[in-house]
Amino acid sequence: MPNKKKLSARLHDRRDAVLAAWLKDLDGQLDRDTRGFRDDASTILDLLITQCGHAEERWDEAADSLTELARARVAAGFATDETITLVSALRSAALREVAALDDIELLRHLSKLLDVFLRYLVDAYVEARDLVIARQQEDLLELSTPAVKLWDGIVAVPLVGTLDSRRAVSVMESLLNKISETQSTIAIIDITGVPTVDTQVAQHILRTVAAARLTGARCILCGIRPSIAHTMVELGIELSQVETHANLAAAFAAALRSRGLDVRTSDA
Amino acid sequence: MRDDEASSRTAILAIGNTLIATLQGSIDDRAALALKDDLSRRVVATAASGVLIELSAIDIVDSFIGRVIADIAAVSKLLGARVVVAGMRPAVAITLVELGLELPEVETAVNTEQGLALLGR
Repeated sequence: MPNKKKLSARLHDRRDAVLAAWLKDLDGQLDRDTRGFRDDASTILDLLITQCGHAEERWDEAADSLTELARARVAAGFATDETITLVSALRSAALREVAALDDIELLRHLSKLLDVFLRYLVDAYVEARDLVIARQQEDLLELSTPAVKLWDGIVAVPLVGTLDSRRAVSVMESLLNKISETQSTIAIIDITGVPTVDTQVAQHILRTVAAARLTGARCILCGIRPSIAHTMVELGIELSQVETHANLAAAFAAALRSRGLDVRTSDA
Repeated sequence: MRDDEASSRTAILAIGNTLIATLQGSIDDRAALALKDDLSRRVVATAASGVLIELSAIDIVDSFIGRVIADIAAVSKLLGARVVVAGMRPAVAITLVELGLELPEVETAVNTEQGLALLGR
């Protein structure tokens, strides 16, 4: 059984030396300015010292603090390997001080603790990264599905990118809300930016058309690329109930016509 | 009990040849069925050529209400009237499509005004 009190006391006594050695080590290994680290580093070191002193393994508090630190690192744009470097530099600095005590049990215990530290930091780090990615995905979803009003009573939704189920729902919602908000009777769905149309995507489009019809708007589909048209025919995708046009301009012209409007060159 | 039944009934207005029924947000299954009966009776009594069902006050539908609307349309058609559903909210439309109730036999309009225009008034 390692003498945890002794380990904790040693690190506590040599705290400043460990911190200085750690930061110096980091200076050599990291490309960025390490001065900003000082606060984080002393927090981590204090956590380690407290953790060494615990007779039982209690990680809740330390885990929370480490998660917090990792989040800040992600926000500051740190890479995973930099986080790992951070902990391995602490490892060599702390082990050097404890090695002077000449007690293999203490070294082993410290090493084990540092492993857990590293795991918590990396876990929290990856988790924080995942959060950022999820948020960006949300943003992308919002950005990529804007329904726009083209004219009184005419709205359009230009679809860009692959249409998966999640996006299809988002497109449907934004289009229907726009229809009801502008009291439009015609909705143009432009799929120029959709790279592939399979049966599932076609199903999503048909559902959107059906829902738009229920709210009182007729849908016009446009921007089907030749290769996609071929694929659709080969797959037997049936879009015969939907009015289609070659491109957005043609669809818009048809929409204007059906609302009794006419585009003409001015006489002047 | 009789009073209850009367108050839960949806009022049906007649303008010329068109009947207008405005569904309220709190419509329950019994009121929906009552509306179905009332409408078919009124269509026959007034020889209406068009029925407009106004849904803009409805936030939530279930499969039952959706089915009743589809039934109203089918029955009215048999009795010689066109049915227009007007003002359906996006959430309601999405729900009906998810339920597979796309109401192909019903005509639709964004609001009452356009619905009446569709029915030729």
